[in-house]
Amino acid sequence: MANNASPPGKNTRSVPIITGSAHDRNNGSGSELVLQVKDVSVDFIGKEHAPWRAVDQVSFNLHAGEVMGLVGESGCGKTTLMLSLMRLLSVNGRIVNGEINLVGRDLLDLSENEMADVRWKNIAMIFQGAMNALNPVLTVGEQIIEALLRHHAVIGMEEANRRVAELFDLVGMPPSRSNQYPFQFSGGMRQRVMIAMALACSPPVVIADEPTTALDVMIQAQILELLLELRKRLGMAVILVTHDLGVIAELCDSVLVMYGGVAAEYTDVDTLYNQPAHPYTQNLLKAFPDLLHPTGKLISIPGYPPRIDALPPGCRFAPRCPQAFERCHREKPPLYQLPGFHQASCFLYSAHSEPHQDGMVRSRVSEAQSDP
Amino acid sequence: MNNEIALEVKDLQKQFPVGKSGLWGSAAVVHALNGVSFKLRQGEMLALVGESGCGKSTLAMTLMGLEKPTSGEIYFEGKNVTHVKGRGLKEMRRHIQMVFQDPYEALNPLMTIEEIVAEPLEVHGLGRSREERQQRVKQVLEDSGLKPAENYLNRRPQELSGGQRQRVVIAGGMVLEPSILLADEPVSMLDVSIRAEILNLLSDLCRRMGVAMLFITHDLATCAYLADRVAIMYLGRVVEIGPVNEVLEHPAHPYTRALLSVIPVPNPRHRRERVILQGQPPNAVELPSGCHFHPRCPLLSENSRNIPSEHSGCTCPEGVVARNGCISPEFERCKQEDPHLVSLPGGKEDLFGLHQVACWFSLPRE
Amino acid sequence: MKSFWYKLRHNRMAVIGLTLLGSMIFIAIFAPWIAPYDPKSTTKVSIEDIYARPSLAHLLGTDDAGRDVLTNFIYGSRVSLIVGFFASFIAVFIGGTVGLVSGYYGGRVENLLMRFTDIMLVIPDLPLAVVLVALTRPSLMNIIFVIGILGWTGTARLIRSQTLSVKERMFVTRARAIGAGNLRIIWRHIFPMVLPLMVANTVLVISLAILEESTLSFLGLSDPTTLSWGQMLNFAFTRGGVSAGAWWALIIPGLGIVWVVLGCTQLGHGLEQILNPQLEWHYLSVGAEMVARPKKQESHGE
Repeated sequence: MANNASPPGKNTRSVPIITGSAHDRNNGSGSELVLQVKDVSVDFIGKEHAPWRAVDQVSFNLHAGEVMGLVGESGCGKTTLMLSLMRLLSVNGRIVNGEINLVGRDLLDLSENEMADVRWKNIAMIFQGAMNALNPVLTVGEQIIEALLRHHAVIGMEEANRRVAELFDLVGMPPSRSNQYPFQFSGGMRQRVMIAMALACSPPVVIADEPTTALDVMIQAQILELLLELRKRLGMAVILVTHDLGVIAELCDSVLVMYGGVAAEYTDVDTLYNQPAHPYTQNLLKAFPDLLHPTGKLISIPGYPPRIDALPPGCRFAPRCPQAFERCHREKPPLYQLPGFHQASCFLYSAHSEPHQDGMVRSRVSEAQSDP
Repeated sequence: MNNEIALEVKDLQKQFPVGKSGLWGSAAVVHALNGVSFKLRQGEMLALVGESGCGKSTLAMTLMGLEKPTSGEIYFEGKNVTHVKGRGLKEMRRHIQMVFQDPYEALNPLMTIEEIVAEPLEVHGLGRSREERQQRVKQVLEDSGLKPAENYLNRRPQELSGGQRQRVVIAGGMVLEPSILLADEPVSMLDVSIRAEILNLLSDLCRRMGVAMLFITHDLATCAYLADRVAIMYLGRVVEIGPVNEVLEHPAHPYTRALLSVIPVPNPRHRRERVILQGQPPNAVELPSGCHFHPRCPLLSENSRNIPSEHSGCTCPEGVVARNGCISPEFERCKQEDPHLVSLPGGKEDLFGLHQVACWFSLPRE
Repeated sequence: MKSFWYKLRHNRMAVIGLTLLGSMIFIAIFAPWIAPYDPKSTTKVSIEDIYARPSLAHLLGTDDAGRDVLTNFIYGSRVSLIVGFFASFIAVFIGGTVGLVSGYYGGRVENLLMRFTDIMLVIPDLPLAVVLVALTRPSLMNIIFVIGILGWTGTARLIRSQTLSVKERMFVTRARAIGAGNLRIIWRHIFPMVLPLMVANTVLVISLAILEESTLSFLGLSDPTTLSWGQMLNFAFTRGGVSAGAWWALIIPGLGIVWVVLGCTQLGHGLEQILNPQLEWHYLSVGAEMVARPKKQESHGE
């Protein structure tokens, strides 16, 4: 799908869409581009300080039926980025750069009312901590109906109730429970309610923010299986935000690794685990326990993730990077284009080119025909 | 690691009343612990794995003396400490200390690091002067990786990162030189990249200083790296226990097998049959009859495909084999009788090398 | 994390309260230098001096005995504030102790203490105060004492609920795990966390104490030798102030009471807002302001 082009020489970088193994796992056919995030930067402002940069020039593409994993630790900006997609930042958050193109429209161009229409109908979120995201004084059925009626997805209460029953069925819960209150559900069930709510208006893009972090391993497996199943049936695109590298490996097609607000690495899941390029990714993989190969000691990365009010001047990871050299501490590395569908922001790859400067987004078809 | 037993737990049971009893009869009861037994050697690391509701937190509270068991016994280095009170309880607290799960909550934000770590010394009247106590505090902070200790003494917890705070918690646990350290999910609230250093620290303390460690977690993957033995808990009982490699490579209990099959593995090419148990763990108020696991047991469910069919090496109780095949889905014994831990054949003679399972089927080695 | 002082400076209620209360405290402390006349001096008084209108000699007029209202007002602030502060200290001490003990120990102790608190709440304060003061010699100390022992119930409930929540925090569990005894835990862990709220509550109780003292004085139950604002009101009412049309003798002490009580409540609520995160409020969202990109260039080359 061709998108709006910008004049050559303008300093917007875009990510060329490259087919290949990224979509082998994705069984959605005809993967059109549903969400394109270009160079989004988010600041937190305050009266007492200069703006703090929470997200710095992050870009990614999402196709129909694709599951993209967003991996990072505390303070990397992943939740902030997701809230920016929904334009639900807190009072002091400002989106200071970039474009968010959702099915052709730039969400950042919309007025507040227009955005309120888009929210939930075209992009929905499964929040972290379901207990806090559900209103304790309304039944779960009422909360879903609220969304349905707001977006005119149904006409009248009878249809609304039918849709609620349909949704509950979809997530594997007895429809009779829609009359119950959130406190009557267990953690895993509440998460299912959140999923049902997110799917209420059948959005093409769903963001799942750490959907299983607080849950037991077995319930986590149930929820993840449910998400996969739903992706298969409904064909929506999913952004799965998590810090669990095992979950990413099981579910995702592509992966974006964030650190300190920047995109450290962006590639398909196979490449990430087998040929990680960015030192952060490499070390993170070594720090993650692998049940199948428990050899030797677990590696940890010395130091701790950067604080938003004390970001390193050069590469965000330089203070902790075992391979950092002088340039890394001084300059911020751009996102370099490695062979295939693979980008990393690290000076180790400065021999590679930076992604295309012309800012044009190429369609899948044309990309496959030309050289990356 | 010698063969001295640091901790022995025998058939520990704990019930909590739920809701008020009132005048109209007794209230419902939560069966948090239903007969837990195990031994812990000096210098050994035993991992306790289970999901929420399995009773591992209650077990921790009971071992720390913060709750009294309803029945059963606890022995520290041979001494029965089940019913100690007052001075005896205080004395006991010098032998077993705890590392808490949440480094953000376990430290009093109004106290300095020195005060926090010195508090156990003050409580037990150790150290004749403030300087002496400070010396000990500095030493234990450095042992926990906070060097130089002087930099940390006057700081407050809010000024430290999560990893540093957890080190303070560990230092606070080690300051009394306990023989047993009880770590309750010590890294689950930390970032992945700093977990390893805390785990390695705990492992070091265990090996180098000979502190026995009881490591409670829900993450089987970390056990593989650290623990000597692992015990799997379900609904207040130990359903499988044995050397960690044994249990992870040849899990004998269907619950363990299910757990292992669903833990996400950071390898996208890895494909395996996942046994996802349906429903959630039954609440501990109404325990299922017989084997507590039988309502969710994949061996008993009609849709189960994981029924091993070979007879060789099968350890089914007699009378079962006589029925249709090695394992019959209609096997009634699971619904009526509660299995206790039995040793699997073919293990080492030493108690600590034994691989034990509480299941009527004791699945054969593959 | 913004510091406490920053938040205090920026909380409108707290600033107003501090100003009002602070100014009155200032006046009370520096009374001998501010007041135009000496309250203890006895002067010969003639009929024109009684309930004299405000004039240059007497900025706020005179009262029923020809004394300067402004001087009485300034010195009266001392009495009201002293009674208010000390009575509230007693009340908060009792209430804090009851709250801490009942919240921490729970069980029968809590039951007992809370039922006792309920009884104290049920009994109407004022009639009981009247009875108690009437039975004892009317003096400042007695009034302080009576107000104090009747005004602790609100504090007790507040501190109890705070104690209940602090008790559950993990560092308290850790203290128990170390082997710390109950008293040590209460003193070193729970009390410091509860203290800020106690301070905020004290300020609010001061306002209640001052009101109660004024009421008792107005009813003529206080020490006749000390002239508090309530006493001034009492004299003005009972000694023909109304019929004389001497509004200055009535309004001025009343204003003084309002001033201090308003200051205390504003400061108290402001402090509560700062110290109790559940009372914080903020805007949900800024709407379209959230998008703060530079304008896109209009020229396109298609």
